[in-house]
Amino acid sequence: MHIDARQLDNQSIIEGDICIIGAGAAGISIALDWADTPHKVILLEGGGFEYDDRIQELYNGKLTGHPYYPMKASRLHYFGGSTGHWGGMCSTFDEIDFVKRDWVENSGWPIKLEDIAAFYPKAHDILDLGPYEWDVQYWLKKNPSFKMLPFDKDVLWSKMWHFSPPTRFGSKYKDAVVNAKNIHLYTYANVVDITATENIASIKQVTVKNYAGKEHTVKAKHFILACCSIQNARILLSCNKQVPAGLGNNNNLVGRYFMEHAEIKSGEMWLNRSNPLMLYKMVLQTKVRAELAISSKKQEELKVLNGSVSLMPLEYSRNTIPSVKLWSHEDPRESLDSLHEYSKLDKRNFFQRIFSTKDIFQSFGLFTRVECVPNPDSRVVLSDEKDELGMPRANLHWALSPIDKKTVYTINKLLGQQMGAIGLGRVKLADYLMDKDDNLPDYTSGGWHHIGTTRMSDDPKTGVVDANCKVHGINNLHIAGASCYPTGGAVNPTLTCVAISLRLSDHLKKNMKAIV
Amino acid sequence: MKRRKFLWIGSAVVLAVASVPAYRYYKRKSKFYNPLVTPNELSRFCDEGIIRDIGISYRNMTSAENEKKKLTDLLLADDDGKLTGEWDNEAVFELIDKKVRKDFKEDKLQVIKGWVISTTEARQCALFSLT
Repeated sequence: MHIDARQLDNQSIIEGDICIIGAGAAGISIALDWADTPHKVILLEGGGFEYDDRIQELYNGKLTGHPYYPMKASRLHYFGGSTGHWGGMCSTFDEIDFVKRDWVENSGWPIKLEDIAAFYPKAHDILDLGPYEWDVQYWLKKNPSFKMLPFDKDVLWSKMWHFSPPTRFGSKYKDAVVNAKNIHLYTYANVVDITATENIASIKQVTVKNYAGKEHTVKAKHFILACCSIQNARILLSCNKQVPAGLGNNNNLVGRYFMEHAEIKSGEMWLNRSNPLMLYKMVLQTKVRAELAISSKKQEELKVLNGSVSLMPLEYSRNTIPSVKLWSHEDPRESLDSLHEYSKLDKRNFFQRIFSTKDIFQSFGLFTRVECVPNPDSRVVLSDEKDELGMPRANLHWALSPIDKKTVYTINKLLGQQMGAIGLGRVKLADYLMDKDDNLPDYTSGGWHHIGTTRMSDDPKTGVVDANCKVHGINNLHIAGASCYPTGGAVNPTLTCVAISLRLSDHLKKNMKAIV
Repeated sequence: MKRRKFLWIGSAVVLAVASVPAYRYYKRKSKFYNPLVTPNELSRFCDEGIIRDIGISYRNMTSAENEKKKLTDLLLADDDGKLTGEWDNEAVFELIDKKVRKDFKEDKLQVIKGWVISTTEARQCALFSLT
């Protein structure tokens, strides 16, 4: 069922069993998991079904720290959320991502990979990822043109990635949500306040508002915040009328440990003999490919983070522009256009180069993506400025650490070592990896991956939510998605975001009565 | 006509295929080719200028090896310290090739001007920069 909150009588009271705040990948996945159950699900979306610049403006805010995409342009504020412009690259987390690593400050999850892995197959289906096969051997057998680089797997291994079409949740799941009898989708329902009981032990209601001047109250047994890292933190920090520091923020952790992936060109790989390296190649219609990932053993031995290298023909790579420079318009549509325009232009140039170059498969550009160390100073804070609905805006300070650069250097040096050891060729590192600066350069881009701000920990002193994504101290407030990750892993977050949301959903189903 | 064409093409292919190892053999045997100062694989990707720059940087970094004789001895010594004759291009080529591969396996690497190379290759570049 769909209700436009602008059309309701002012001060309406909406009631349900579960209230999901945010209709992006996490929120929609959870809502559909409850379809056809006896429970009434309220799904709140701040925008409508289409892009609306005035709604998008609510995401605006200021940036400090490492250069980043404009706040207004890095997330989409309508039904389907940022799946409206995501690229579709998916891979699974590794076991080491969940472990407390003594060389990575603030690392360690209270759960293990197997806790999430149980939900990967379903997340896989939701994201239209094809066969649930992550072992490179499966793909080598399936596709004879795939040949694996024969590296020592204790150094670098071929980690598989799947590509979603990409699934646009807004279009793909609209009918399923709207037609589900027990799901009540309210569009134009921006949460502007959350009210807890007097002792702050549980949430009583949330207040929603829209540009039509309407304000409504939503009451439910359980509330799930699923607005992604920046907005989740913003909402919790803004709800400060009962607790001055904001809800769930007794230990000054909400908004902290914001993470991204540091993504940057990192060098060149020269082969003795031409080889298209099809297993590692990304072209149009690519369904799967591999990246060269650093082994857990080497991460531990060399005290670096998780990360991987992808390859593209050098002729192409040399002319690519860092995403942070291309995606610079405040309007996400213009940023997307500039990315598309650039890739069209680049494709033309690329084909010209293909025909003018003797062999494009002898040299490859290297592109590295690494997790960033959880840093409490990398954070979302409230601005003094308010948006049109009266909510304080969110400002973002993204901070990187020297270990991020050390990791990029190490992975690429290991690649050079492996290439030389088996006589395949040589690797040349990018110039910035040879300078004395401890930090990655300003043009290091993020992957539009917002992670952290409400991190998970068994201890309220070190985390906002517990292992079941429940906010510490508040028995019916949960948080879904990547904002709960204590560390970012080396892969794009969406698959795990959907999986961890389904895990939360499953937990709530099993404990529906016990929790309240 | 077709048969003649086939013979022509066949001969050309055989000649082309055979000429590669022949050229490499000739190159190694040539009095102008010096495997001691020519990093075999690296020189496929780097021109003389870069090899010279790498060599100069290595000498600046490693003052104890900043001398022709020292570098030559290090390059010509096998694992047991036995020196191979500098005049025997074929033997020097084989020795250096083995040392380079071993360096990579044992992580005896240098990163100079961005290139991840073996210490043996760095010494070859250094010697080249002194010639």
